[in-house]
Amino acid sequence: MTSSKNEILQRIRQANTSQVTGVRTQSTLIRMAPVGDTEPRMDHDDLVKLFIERVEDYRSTMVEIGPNELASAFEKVLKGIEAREGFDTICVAPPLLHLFNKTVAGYKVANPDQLTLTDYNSKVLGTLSGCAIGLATSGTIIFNSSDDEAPGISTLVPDHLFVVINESQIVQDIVGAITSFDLGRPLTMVSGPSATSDIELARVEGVHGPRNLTVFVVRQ
Amino acid sequence: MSKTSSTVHGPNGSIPKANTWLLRTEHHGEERGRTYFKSRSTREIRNLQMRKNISHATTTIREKRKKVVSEVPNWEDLRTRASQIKQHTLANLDVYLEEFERNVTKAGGKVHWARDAAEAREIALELVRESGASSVIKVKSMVTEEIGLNAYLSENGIEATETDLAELICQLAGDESSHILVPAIHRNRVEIRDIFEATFAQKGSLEADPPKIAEAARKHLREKFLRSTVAISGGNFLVAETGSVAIVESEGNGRMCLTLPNNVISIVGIEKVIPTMEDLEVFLTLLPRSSTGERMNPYTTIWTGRPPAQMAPEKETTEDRKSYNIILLDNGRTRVLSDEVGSQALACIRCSACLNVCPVYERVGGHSYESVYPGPIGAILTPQLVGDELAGDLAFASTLCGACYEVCPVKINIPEILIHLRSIHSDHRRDTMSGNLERGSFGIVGIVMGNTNLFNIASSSVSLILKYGGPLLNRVGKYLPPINGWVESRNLPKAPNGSLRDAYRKGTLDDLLKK
Repeated sequence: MTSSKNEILQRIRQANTSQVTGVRTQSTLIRMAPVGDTEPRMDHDDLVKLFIERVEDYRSTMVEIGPNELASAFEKVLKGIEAREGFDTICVAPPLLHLFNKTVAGYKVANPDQLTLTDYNSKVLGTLSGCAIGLATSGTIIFNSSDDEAPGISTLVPDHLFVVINESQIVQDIVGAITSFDLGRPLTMVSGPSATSDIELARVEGVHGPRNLTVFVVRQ
Repeated sequence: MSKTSSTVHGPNGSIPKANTWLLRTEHHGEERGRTYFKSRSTREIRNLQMRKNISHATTTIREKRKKVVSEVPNWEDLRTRASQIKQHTLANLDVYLEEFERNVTKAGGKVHWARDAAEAREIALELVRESGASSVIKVKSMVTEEIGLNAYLSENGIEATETDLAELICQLAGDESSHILVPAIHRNRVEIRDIFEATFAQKGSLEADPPKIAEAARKHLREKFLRSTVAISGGNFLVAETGSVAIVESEGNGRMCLTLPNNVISIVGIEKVIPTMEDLEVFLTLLPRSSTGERMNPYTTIWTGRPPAQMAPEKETTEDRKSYNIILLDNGRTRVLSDEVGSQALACIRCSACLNVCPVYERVGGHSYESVYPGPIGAILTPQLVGDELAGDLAFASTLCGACYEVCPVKINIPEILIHLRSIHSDHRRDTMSGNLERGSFGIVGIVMGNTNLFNIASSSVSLILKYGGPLLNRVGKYLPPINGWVESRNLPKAPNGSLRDAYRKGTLDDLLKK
């Protein structure tokens, strides 16, 4: 094993010393000049508007709510969703559990701690979770397995994903956004529902991940 | 399934080269193993279904890309930056690979090094065997295709299932992929329905409707996701400073493979390493817009050491802990690195923007390139990875229009590399008859074009030949050496209504242009 490594590193050094001109010969590790902003910096209100517009663009549902309206807004959304036989449970991230009495819109409310992989596949209709940040320019939600969030499997296996984001969590774009995370935990970036264009380039939502994404933006 | 799968050459084939696995050459008379772009494309171009599908796909993605790229005012700065990052990393590749290895190891993963396809396959097989699994699920990966991993695992009793929809279609049909991003684009919905019904779905159970077909794939693969214990992936980016790996995808099959099984094995080319997370931000802006024409792809997973846990990481027990192995693959890449012009190709992030704008690709399709890597990027990568003698003709599969260079998010100067590879090819043919004939002809052309009188005589005779002999030559030219090599895959142009020089002299330029 070591010999393969050494041989490859040796080949690389040989290849690079045979170069004679240009950047390729530099041996010091320089940093590049900054590239500037992807878009001019926006004020916060425009940023939130852009985020909403861009998330909707992925055929997701956006719901703007006030500070204490999550429980009622969530119930309303759930009532509008077509029932699926046998799927009688909603997984709710632990910090949001206090908002609900054992049920919501007729579904059992479950703590992810009590659910197994089989449950997610056969009885959980959807998951309600917080997130780390939102990127306005690309309409992206970033999860980093923090305490505000339901575990990764619960945002992946069920048909519906419901995300709550405070407007203060929305930043402009990815430049400067992911360098701030603790990489000890995995990062998952979500932009719209699962999708494919593999058949004649026709877009189909919900291949392996959630078929529907609903985002609740909490305005102050 | 009307199409038969073509031969892939293994280690026992007639070409004793370790990395010919990436070639998908067919039998061409006595010779095996090298690409024959000219004859294959002449055949492929008559496949009207394929051309219709590909042209629809490339046109659509091209338009989407243009729109989302125009939203980014500093797009050109980002391209320049991305190109600098890649050139800088390649110049210090040994340093960054070792840094990456240290950080992966620190975070609980294990790094393996493979000099060629055979070594990578063996390491992967050994790791699967250690886990005790008899089947694996796969995230779409160009590099596992390059090393012929699925066939090798299957020969050794391990069943590998592709989980990307298009890759699954290709796998079930025994097809080669025809596009880097949408590999099954040569198939239409009816064909795909038939492929599914001939394999896992019941006959007559499916409608030829994309959502219905995707739903069938969802059900079929869900089972496999739930019970598989080993997943094999590629990797889009390796971050040296943290030891993180990033996988960019759309369907969620990548997240499934990375989250559910307890053993994850990634096989990644050594050129995929980048220095920092800050660099990753640049590439995550460029890649989705260039590739699918979206502002961001549906899912990106970034992990360090061990991929995402099923449940919250703090609740994991020791038995739940995932094992993570990553195999860093050379397979000809260091040889590419030693070529000062050609090594730019190693900056490629596999977005496939160059395929979508290429007038040649759009007409001849991906199969004509007879390589895992089709299109303009394939035309510069394949000959360099397997050598000029096996795939040198691919450097001629281009009009040198330069559209690929213009859209490349990492600014690979594809036309420059094509010309460079053509000169290598012509050098290799220096002592052959056809090589000498060709050089001789170009010598004569050089003399003629250097002398006004000779040039005038030549241009008017060519006009006459085209006018009176053009149609005939188009019919019989393919039987007449030495022009057959040129005419067999090209039509001669129509004779012009007079030369530009004449018209200019006589003051009838406007008339000529009007015609």
